[in-house]
Amino acid sequence: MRAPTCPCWRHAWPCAVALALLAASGGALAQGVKVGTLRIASVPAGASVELVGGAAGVTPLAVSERDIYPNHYSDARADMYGMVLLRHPGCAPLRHRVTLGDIEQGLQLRLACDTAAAGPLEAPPELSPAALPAAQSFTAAPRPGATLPQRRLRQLQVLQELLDDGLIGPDEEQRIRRRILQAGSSGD
Amino acid sequence: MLQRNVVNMFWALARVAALLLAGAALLAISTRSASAMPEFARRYNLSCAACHSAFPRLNQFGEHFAANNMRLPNWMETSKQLGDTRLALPDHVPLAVRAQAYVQARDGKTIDPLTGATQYAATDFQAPYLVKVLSSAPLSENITYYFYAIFAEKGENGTVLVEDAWFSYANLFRTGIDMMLGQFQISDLMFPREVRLPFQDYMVYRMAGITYDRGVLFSRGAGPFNLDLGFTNGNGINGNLKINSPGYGRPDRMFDNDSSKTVFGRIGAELGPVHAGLFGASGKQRSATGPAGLLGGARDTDKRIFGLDASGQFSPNVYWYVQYLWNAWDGFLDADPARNYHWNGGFAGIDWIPNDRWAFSALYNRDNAGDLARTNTIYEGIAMNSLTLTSSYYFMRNVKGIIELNFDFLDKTRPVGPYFVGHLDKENYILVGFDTAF
Repeated sequence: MRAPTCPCWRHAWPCAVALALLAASGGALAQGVKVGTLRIASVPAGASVELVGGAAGVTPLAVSERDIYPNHYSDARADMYGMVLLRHPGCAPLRHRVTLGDIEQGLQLRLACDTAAAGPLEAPPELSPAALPAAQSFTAAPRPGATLPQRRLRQLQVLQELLDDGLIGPDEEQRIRRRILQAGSSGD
Repeated sequence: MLQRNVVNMFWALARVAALLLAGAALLAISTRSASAMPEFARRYNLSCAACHSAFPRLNQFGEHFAANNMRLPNWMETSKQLGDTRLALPDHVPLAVRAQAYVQARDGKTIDPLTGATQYAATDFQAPYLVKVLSSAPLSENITYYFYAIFAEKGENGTVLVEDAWFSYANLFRTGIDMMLGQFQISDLMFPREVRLPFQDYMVYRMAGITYDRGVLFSRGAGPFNLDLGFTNGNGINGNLKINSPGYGRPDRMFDNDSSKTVFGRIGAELGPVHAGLFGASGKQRSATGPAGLLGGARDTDKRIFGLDASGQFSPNVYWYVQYLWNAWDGFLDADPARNYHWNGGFAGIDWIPNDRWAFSALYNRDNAGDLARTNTIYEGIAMNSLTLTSSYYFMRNVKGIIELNFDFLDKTRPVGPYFVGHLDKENYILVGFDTAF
């Protein structure tokens, strides 16, 4: 086989120049442009963060987009793909599906940390009509003495059950969760 | 003299490359906060990184998404909420765009096979090279559609070419069989050309004639195996015939010109870390006739293809793939219809994606014209032996600049007869440009 007569073969330096130009421009851009980082903060801070690849650290922390969406993962952990799971002693675990908006703005998650006994359910705001009957089936007998955090925790638990049962979608679940937490924080 | 021209050509290209990169840098900086995301990302509010290891190459989840009827479980929520459970209308027109623009310097020429008349340009602005509009959406629990149309590919302005265009029905009659009906590439069963990283093609697919065709494909998992079985017209996607035997002015058209169909199938399996497959196809094709075999003949001739494919990963960021095809074209040339022509070829490649900014690819195409060599037809040109090196830089997830070098190792040939066919010139090239989807 004869050596190829490609101009680049005989004159490799022009190709090297072109490649170097690309590399130099790329390097400069890589320093100037930052993409694909997710900042995760929680209330309370110090929650352990689990991703599809396993433990990632404790909040507050930043992970790369590729940590959220690895090119390969174990089939056994497929349900964690694109998800963030926060755990904190004394708090209910919180699963959150990462969206583009989260990556742009960062994640601020509030964990439900009151572990007192479940209280009565108040219908979560914006619950879809289809999901409401199911939500009411979880309603315990009214407990006039239940505190606001207890009611909030119960609401969040029911919300998680609705999500797990597929009666509401992740977007709707997130919207309602935020409403519950916001309502709680403004009232506290 | 030629050598000096070539050096000048490369200096000119280097300058053009620098200008393009400077422009791209401005583009990237100016679009830092822009949301440039293709349709699936828009629909599910996901990053491109969810499905692509480096656009357009799919990652594990992207493969899963494609195999799952191109949808996520919450697809219904992305439809317009009209209060009608029997209507899943997309809440926006599901469109995306892919565009490519290149500058190329090359050795290859246009040579008239009959006269030998030559046209040559050492450098070429291939911008736009391609403008493509894509659309896809889930339409029901089981049905998804996908199509794209190309506006202006390789200078074909004034035409619109529809390539992929199909409906898929998942879990047909609850049998676990998925069905696809429409236009698709037979070769997609092995390695989809549309998601490759290099500009250079998987040439053996084109030469074997297993790219776009109209037909139906059935797929099913069976234990450790994936089984695919399909049927196509075998005529490609451009030809059609007007039906006029019932009378004047009938509206319908035929897309096939014989009752025989091409049947094809693949058995795939995971062998440890290797995805491997056996492919087979059998059908008919029109013979080749006329000077240099340029014309389609009147005979339907038998065609058979057998293939082996394998792919895997050397590490989480290094992908490899190999394809081999053996072809039997019985009595293909009218010049010698009693002769059966066998030829073979394939390709092998590696993609290295070290980070979110860079991807590097090497693609080796090797094809042997076999019995078609020295036939003094255009089919001598099946012979190929080239290595392509590609470097892709991602300004954004969906905007990349590429530089690609193609090295041709095949010796030039001289015509063996009256026609100017075969490997008359080298196909070395250098290419610089942009590729984006949004």
